[in-house]
Amino acid sequence: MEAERGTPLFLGKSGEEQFSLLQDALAIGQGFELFFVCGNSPNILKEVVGRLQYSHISGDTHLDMFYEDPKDLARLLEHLLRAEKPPKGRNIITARSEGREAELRAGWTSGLVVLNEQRNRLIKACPSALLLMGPPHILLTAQSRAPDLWSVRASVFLFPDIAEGMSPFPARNVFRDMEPDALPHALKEGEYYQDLADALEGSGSKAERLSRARLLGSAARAWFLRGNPRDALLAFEKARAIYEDYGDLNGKAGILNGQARIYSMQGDIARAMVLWEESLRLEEQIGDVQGKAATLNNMAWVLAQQGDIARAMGLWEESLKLTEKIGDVQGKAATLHQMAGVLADQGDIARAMGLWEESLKLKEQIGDVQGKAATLHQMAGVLAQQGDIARAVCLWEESLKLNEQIGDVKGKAATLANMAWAEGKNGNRNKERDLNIQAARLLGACKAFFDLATVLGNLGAGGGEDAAAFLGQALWLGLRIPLPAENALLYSSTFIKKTGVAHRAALLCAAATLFFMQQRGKDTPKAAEYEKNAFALLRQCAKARNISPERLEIWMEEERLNDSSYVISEFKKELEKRIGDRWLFDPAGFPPL
Amino acid sequence: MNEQLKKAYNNCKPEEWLDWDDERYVPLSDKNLRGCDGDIVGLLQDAIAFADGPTHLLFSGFRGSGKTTELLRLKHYLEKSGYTVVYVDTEEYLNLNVPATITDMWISIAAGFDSFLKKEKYIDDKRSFWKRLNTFLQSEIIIEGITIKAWNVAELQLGIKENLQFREKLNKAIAEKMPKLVKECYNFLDESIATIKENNNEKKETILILDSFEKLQGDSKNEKDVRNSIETIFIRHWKLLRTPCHAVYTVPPWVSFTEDAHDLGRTWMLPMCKVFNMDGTRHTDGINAMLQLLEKRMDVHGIFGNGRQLEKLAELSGGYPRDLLRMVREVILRNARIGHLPIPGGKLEADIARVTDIFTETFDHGLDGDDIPLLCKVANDHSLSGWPGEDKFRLVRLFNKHFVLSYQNGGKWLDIHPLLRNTPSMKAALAQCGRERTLPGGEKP
Repeated sequence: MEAERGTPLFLGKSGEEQFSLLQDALAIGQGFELFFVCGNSPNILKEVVGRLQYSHISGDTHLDMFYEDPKDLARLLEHLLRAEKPPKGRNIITARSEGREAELRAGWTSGLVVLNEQRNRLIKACPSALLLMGPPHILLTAQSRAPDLWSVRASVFLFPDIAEGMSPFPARNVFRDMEPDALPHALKEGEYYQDLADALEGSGSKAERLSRARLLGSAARAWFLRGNPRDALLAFEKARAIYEDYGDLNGKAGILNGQARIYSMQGDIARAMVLWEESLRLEEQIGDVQGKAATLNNMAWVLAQQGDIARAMGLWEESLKLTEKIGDVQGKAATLHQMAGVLADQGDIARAMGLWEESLKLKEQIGDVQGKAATLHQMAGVLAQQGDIARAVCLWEESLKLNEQIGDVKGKAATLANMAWAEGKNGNRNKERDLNIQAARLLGACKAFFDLATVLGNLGAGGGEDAAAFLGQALWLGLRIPLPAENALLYSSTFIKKTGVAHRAALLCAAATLFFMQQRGKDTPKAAEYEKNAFALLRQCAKARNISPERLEIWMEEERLNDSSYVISEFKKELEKRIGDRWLFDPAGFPPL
Repeated sequence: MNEQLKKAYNNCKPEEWLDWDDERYVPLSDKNLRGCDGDIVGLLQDAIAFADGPTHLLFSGFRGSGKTTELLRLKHYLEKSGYTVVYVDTEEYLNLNVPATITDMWISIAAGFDSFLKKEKYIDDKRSFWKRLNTFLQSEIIIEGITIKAWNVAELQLGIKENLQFREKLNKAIAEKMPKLVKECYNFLDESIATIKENNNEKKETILILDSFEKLQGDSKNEKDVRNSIETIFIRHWKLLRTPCHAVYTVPPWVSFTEDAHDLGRTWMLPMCKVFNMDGTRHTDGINAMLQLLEKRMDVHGIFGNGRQLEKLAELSGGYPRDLLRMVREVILRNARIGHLPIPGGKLEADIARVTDIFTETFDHGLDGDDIPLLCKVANDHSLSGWPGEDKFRLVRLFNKHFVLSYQNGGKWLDIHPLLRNTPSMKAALAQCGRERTLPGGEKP
């Protein structure tokens, strides 16, 4: 069965605009045209290539340098240009590249020089568009090393970084843009951006320093996803210093937003608010109405989570006024959706439904199918909680149809998971299990690992002989991705309970959990609590082995429970034994631990 | 997709150069917008016609300024006047990223003649230049590590262009034999001219146009060597470059600004179309001419309304046609799906503002802080007289990036690109030295 295309990656508002212009340029243009398509994020460029291929406007000549040595870019381009048969029809040749900075630069430089020399042949041989896709520094390289090529460029399309700036979809997924859709890339991304940024350190050129700032911002976001907020904040600070040097208020506002998000996720709300307030002042200063609206959204969301509903609503109302002022229908719809969710949590169901209906109408107006599906999904969830399962199932099914329409695999999986919950509420355990398994498979296929871990955890909490295997898979994921601490603790304690404290697997689970709470939770306000809870699990296992509290430390030393590499490696083996052949996703897609 | 916009978009492709008789051609030189001396093609023709013997002229201009179109016009009018024109594109024979030598120039010229003669079927392979060169090299030159005898003509041709190691070794080995090789090439040209005359008795003389040599440039490692090589060819060895026929050589724009250039005679420069005067005031005729460029390619009024808003883009282009075409294309792209034309005024204004920002940002990204003082100097002085040599040569890079443009009112003068002037860094720097200018649209910064 062909793998379904995963959820389209949202490119950010300006990224979506750029993509729309690129699509139009490819549709409207005739004959040879040279486009530079640039972005720092490999995921963004991958998404752009994927969409072009998906929409059948790309050709079949595509040099993806990810699997090649960037130094070979020149050689490969030459080979392409000398090919006996020129590309037929509407062809787009892209030379996207990812790789370590030094080789990347050298590869692109020599590649651009070749294209510069061969441009007349290129123009004759290539009957349609040529897209050169790479990091923004290739623009500077082209200007200086390939001036004839640069001179004949048709257009430049610049895509912002994946989690940069202000998403107009803060609802339900206010931090969605920080979740990795493809984990292996997310794991690499931190180092990737850091490498690029480091190579620009010491540069005196303004362009390169600002480029470094953008890369540091991306590195920061990627570090945070790895569960490393400390390095993330350090990188953000360095980026901020550069933006301040150049008086780049827009860049600084983006950094402040990123920092605020991290602090808020760590629970340091006061500090997050201070940073958001500063961001608001800058957005006011530069007249960035949309940015201001999105910042207000972020603040409102966090305040709502803290229980300060009145203040949250006030900020949302303010955000709504701004989105109306600039005609941002999409932003307005997203804000209404978010407000509705909070009202529903507060029990004000009628008002919530009203706002959701309003959001639905706006989404219908702008053809936001994905947004509509998400709103229907939320409404269904609330109705189910109110006991109106029949109506909930209707809305979920409507949402499912829309998910299928746009190939939103992740949305479909979320809906299936919720339908599973509803079945569980009705006591239909088998149906609940089946729907959860369907959801898990879909999430595994599109590499939405955080959501997958949640569904696996739900499967693990249920009964049946394979519950432990599913829970094991959730924990296996937890070895690689920074699961929320509460979830990780819950899965661990459930696993230990199901396995039995005397079992070796339970002991290893407890030891691994303790490491992760110490490492990932250390900069959070609840660090001490998490560590205490994890330690309690370990003590349970020790008690089962008649180890007294006084002997605990020595025993841990003897059992090598202080050696994190040993514990994690052994725990992984135990988990894989338990899972057997009941994997709901492909573990081979992960790099080794 | 709006079909009218689609057509207009494709009529403005920046990589297309116009043939001499393209209906989109606008004779900017005729209108004294590229210097007040008149049509540059006419002037070059006259310089050739009035010469007492073979004359050797240098021609220059920026990328995308219309240089090749003017040379093709020159070719057409010369042929119409009864001359035989051998048009040679140096890029076909030379790698233009490394320093060149007089030998390279001669080989390119002779190779160009060779191609012309073969195309006209005046000679066959037995009389080909490459065969002759191969024989010469085999008998006269020993290159360490390379056995010329083993090479055939095709390999030799490819090797000179693409095998830099071979070319370097060849040039080194040839250095002592250079006058002999030059003579060999000269003799080939002499014979070729005679052959042409034999086959075209009614024709006047033969004229060589050597195009694309102005593209010779290096990277940060060898740019000084490249510059020196150009000076060597056109100054130290200039006499060795005198072909037995009239010749027009293209050279990089900066050559015309060096002090030694006066020894070369005049360098004929194709400047940008004047959209501003030296004092910063608008040059209305120039702006109108740039709009005429657009009118030849699309229904300006049908698409943009009265077209006045496009004047801002014409000003911001600095009279550089490619930049104007690119900016207009961007505006068209932003309206590709529009239902009705003309584009509503408010939207057009917003789109032009956005495109201006994008293009200004491109200049801003490419701007090195170290170049700002030099650029301020250009904005102040408008010339290079009295500048130290090193500063002049730093200007080479700025010319290549189109940060500095050249104009002509009798004498040559320089200015920074209006989009560069629009960047925050340049605005601040110029404000400090008191040379801010009223921006397009009349507003003060």
